Amino acid sequence: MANAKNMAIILKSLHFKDVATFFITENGLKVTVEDCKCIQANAYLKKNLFDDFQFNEESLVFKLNMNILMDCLTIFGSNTANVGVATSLEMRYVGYGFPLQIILEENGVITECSIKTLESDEILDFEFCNNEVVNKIIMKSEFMKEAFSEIDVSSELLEIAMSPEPPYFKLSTFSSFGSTHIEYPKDSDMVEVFQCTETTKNKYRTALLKPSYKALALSSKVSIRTDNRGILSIQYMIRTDDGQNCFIEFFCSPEEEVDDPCGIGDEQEPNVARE
Amino acid sequence: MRFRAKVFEISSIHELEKVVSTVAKLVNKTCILRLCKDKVYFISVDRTLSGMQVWCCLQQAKFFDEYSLEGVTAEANEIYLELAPDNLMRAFRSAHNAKSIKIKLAKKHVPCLTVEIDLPSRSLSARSLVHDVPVHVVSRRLWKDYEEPAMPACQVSVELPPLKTLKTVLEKMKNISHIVTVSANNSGQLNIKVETDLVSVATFFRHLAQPNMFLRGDREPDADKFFSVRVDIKKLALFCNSQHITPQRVICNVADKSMLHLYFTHPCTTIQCFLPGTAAS
Repeated sequence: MANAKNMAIILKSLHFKDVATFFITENGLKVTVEDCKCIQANAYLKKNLFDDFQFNEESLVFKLNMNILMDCLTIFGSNTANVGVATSLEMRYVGYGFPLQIILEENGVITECSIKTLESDEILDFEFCNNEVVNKIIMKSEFMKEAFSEIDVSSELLEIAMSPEPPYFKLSTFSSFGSTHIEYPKDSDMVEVFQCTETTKNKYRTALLKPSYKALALSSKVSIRTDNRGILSIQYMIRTDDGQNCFIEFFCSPEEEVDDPCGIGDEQEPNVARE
Repeated sequence: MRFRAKVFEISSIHELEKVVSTVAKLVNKTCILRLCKDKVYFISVDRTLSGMQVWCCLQQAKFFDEYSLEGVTAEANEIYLELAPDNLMRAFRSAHNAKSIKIKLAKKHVPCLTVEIDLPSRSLSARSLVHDVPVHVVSRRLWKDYEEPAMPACQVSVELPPLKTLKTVLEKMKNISHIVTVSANNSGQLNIKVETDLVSVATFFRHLAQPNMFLRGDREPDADKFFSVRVDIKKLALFCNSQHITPQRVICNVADKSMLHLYFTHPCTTIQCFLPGTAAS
């Protein structure tokens, strides 16, 4: 890959837990991070993002310590202040039991990292039914960025309401200081797609959504969908500096009204099959 | 015992400020200031196992316009003072725009090095600022503790690449392990490596210059053979972070398995850091 900083920036928005699971297929790389069984973030790095992608197996999975990976990817510095200085990146994985090798080069100086991989655990399948999408909105990220900078951070819950009648898309927070509501009209220029079959209101824990803000800051477009079980899928489209697109997706389960720590009530049985 | 010195040149004041800031960053709280007839030394006091020894030498005449010293006795015409370089640095920092400074050894409630700073002022009366840096006079029988550390027998000597890259790499490596292995060979190659059970990260620098000044005896015939020493990464990172003076060159000498010697030159000052190798941990 010509510029390691791209990968570092994308993975940084996933760096909210110590461990991440890597899936390699002939189409590219997928990195998954989970928390609490309630939120899952996936970054899709398709093979066209890389200058050269060679993969001969069916698929490979391993887990890695994210802290170490991020230190390695940013070994030559994490700020993008060095304009014009590109750090090139090469990743190699021989197979099961072998470490992941990362080779970075900047200005003639080469760094080689060898990171031991861990056994991957089962990851959660949120079973987000693409067929059962109740509501969907795709909009330019500036809109969302403004909204998220204004919502009350002290509030525990964020309510997302979408409806075919006005107000079409509403974000609300509630706290002891009062409540705030931000409404979006569906006809605005910023909104590209708005499909809403029925009125839905779902609450999500703001603490769980916090990691997605980094991805939001990098993205140019965002899509928000909820399915018939209230599971939230936020997809961020990020444009790298060589014009390629890649996607980061967050799944979050809604907060039940019951006093349940992670919001998984009876109706959700996390299906532990691998994707 | 008497000591008086004056500096009139603003550039010398700035240079002194930079030297003292560098020393302040490298040592742990206190150091020894040794005043001799032609040289001024800053010596670090760290005696711990992995401690870095710092030896900084300035040619007095290049900095001070007036310098008068009366040592402990006529034969031992030197004064050894223990002080906190941070305090001295603050004094010099206040002198950043001074017209002149005067330094003297005085006894107020405690012995101190008084820095009198003559500042420019718009009004007719002069403005002056006085810093009293407390010092502890080191008695003569302890002077032998502060002799120049012996130069280790090095097998290889390379000139370090620009410190900026090294600094960034070391900062990240610090998160991985607290011991770093520094290796160099006679083909101008330098490797920095950290290793734990989970990960190993190595950075390779190539095409470095190889100065001759430190090698005694014949050079190792096999130019590709590496000599390494394991040192405390925090101290090495500290060294890279502390350089306020733009050095002409920073030379790194490796004494296989025993010591890393860092030497940097500047027209009027030399600073040497001796980093002992640590055993496997």
